[in-house]
Amino acid sequence: MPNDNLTQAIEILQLVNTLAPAGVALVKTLATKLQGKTDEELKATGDAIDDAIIAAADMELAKLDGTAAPAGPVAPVTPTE
Amino acid sequence: MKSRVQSQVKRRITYVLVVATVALLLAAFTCHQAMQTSVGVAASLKAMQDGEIGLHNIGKIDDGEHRLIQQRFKALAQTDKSVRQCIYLQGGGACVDPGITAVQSMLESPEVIGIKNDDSRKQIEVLGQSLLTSLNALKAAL
Repeated sequence: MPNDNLTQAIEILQLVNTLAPAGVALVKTLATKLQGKTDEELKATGDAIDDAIIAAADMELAKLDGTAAPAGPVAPVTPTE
Repeated sequence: MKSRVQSQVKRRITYVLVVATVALLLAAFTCHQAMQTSVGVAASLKAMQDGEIGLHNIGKIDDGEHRLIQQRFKALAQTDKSVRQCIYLQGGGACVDPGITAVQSMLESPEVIGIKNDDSRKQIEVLGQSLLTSLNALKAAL
């Protein structure tokens, strides 16, 4: 594993030497891709979990208030005399 | 003479590029590690919420306690999003401080301390401490 990182680092340095400013941005992108997921993907994943927490909290509060949406169709009420 | 100066300048430029590349790589890894840990923090918070909902569903946390605690979870999730945004945009351990403060405040709040069922309160506290551990790990990674 360490040798793979060294090989990649050398390749990155060669790219920086040849591409200059564009290479700086490329290095950063390559470094994140080494880990599989980009920071943007990780951020989106974390935010989605937080949104699920907020939605679950709203659902629990609505249930307590008696305003939660019913699970299925509501049976019609038959008027009694 | 000219070619010696040129080769010295070229060596210096190469040295600066190498140092800048290494610094960028290190910074990228630190920020990336922090983002990965931040996802773990959100997952820990969700687990804590699910645990509390489960305890309420089996009657071990009453409606009043449940309402206040869920309001806290909602605020915590919003804080967590802000923390992640701060890490994403600028980085730095200070980004995590609001999250740590919010969790500590929740664990010390009357609604958690006042949970009548001892087992439920302890479970929430254990989950909360686990969340704090994740947050401190996140701060250390930055």
